[in-house]
Amino acid sequence: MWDLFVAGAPLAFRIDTFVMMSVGVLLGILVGALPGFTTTMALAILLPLSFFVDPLVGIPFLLAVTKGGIFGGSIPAILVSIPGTGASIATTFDGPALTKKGQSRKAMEMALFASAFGDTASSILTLFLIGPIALIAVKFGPPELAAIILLSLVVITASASGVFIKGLAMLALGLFFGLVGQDPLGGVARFTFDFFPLRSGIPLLPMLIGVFALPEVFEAVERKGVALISKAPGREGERLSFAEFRRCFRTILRSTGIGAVIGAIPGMGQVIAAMVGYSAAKNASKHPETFGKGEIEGIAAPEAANNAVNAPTLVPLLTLGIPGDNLTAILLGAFVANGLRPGPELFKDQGDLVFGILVAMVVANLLFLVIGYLTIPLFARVVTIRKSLLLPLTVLFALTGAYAYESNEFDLFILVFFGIFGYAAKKLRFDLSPMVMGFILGPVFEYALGQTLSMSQGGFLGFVFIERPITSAVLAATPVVTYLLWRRAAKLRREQAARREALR
Amino acid sequence: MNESETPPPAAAPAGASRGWTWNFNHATAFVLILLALALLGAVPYQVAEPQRLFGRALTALDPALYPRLVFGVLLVVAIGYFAASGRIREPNLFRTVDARGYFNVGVTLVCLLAYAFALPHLGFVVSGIALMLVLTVFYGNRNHLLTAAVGVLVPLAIYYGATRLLGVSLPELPFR
Repeated sequence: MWDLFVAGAPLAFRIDTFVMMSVGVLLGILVGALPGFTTTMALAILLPLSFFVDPLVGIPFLLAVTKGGIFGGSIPAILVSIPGTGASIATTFDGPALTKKGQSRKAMEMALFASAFGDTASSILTLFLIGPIALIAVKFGPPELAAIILLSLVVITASASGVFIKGLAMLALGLFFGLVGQDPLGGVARFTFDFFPLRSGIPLLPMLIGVFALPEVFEAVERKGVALISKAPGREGERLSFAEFRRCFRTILRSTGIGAVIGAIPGMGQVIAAMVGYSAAKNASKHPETFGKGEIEGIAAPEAANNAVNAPTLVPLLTLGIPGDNLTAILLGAFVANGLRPGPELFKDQGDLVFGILVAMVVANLLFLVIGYLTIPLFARVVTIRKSLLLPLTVLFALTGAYAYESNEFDLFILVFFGIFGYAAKKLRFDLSPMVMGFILGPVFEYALGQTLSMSQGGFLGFVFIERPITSAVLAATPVVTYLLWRRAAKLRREQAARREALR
Repeated sequence: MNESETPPPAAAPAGASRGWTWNFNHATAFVLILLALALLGAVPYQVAEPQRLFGRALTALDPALYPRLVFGVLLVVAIGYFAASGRIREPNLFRTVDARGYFNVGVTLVCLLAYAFALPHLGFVVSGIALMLVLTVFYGNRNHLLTAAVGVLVPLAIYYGATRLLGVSLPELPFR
């Protein structure tokens, strides 16, 4: 492997590769910043461009679009609470609160630096450990995936703000919303109420935009009119200081590790990595009560985690030919169109080219850092717009994003429904993140569970607990982790109650 | 996972016991219990029969099993939520909104729905301009030149950007 790396690394240092990667990063940021316009959509549109250029230009270009897109999704998440991509959901927990405090630029800078660090570190890790990572990834099958999803759901629910039982209720509702449509195994229609638009299920992005963006708009307009016509502060906000970045460095390192591990497992992806990264940061914090109220670590954690997925997610793709998500499925198309056949033989036949692409991916992170830093002042100016204009613009972008996702008018009604749902949930003190994660992971969990049942051939318990040690370990860890998180929360509750008593 | 131990809402009934009070969480939990029961009852009617070959289903997992599991969990959780509601001390934030606030939210919702109905008939540009103008004026902007400029230019810019640059299909102008 080392000789392949030595042979391939110099291939990445080309002017045309740098230029195309720069263009890719910029396009990715712009598309990612537009709600409803996903990175997957951008990749699908730009994929044909890669056919007409050298693989060392075309594939790094597409990878650069991915990097830019994941960061770009954090921009509307921070500014107007609209997640530009699913990976930016967790960024909406603290981003808008920081914007309200006049710290939007700081939040975007933290998102950029955390993303760049997470992506770079995991890219370097992937470069040198691609072989061992592939050996571990191949051991993860449907039983392991189902167990990890169950653990992730419980951890995210236990880490959510508010009462645990209410979080579980939202998780169950999310699982219900996720099963509307066709079952992932047999394609049987479920809970469509004979309404044809629901046959393909509830669409993800309109739901996300509705549940996160519209309640913010409703809460802004429910205040008296004076607040709406008053001018915005007129300044772009504080800048991120080195001390603040250093304070969050441990969180960024942890989240990078989480993203790298999750990225290597097919089927997991940026959304899960961001949520688990956020939950882990909150649980590890000495002041978890600050999360959700404008805590800068709440930006660093999910952004480092979701970008750290980018490189390891290529591992099952390159070594086994298994695309883990839609993005890597499109990249698989790019590889095949350029004459590269992902799989066990790829490194043997074209190893230097593959390492050249991986090195280009590391270089792309530096370009991403520079270009992202230059675009931040442009986006930061959004908050200087008066609210009486900003709110209608937010509504229009939310509606456009919801429609553009699948060019389906029904999605607008989904947006409005979940806007009302999200607004009511916030007023009744429910945290929405368990609902969203249940919605996203429910179908994946059911599919993995179905496959596990098929594999077990009738002896489910014996198959899981005897033949799948990783699954057994994760299932055993789930109640332990839940108890530990509950105990920590109970301790914090007692300390807070004692502080309040002391103040009286 | 923290119970917010803010002081009980002002509307808490006098003489209520310190450790247990009836509150909005009870009502919400009750609604969730009813929902769970309704969904469990609806499973035989809302889950289509799986395809069968020689009397055996083609998938290992019955399509009705997972929904039953989820709704069962919802029911158990909702019952637990109902039981725990008396000890949860948190304000109902609906009570913090006044009539004017509800009016503003209601008007916004009506505009959203009107846009959703109008979009396929009037096209993206016309409905977008109408939405922008109505909301901008309603939210109190009195600079009519700015309102008109932003209200017209932004939908046009989004339309041309999305359709020409990104290849996204948006409903066309109605008069072509």
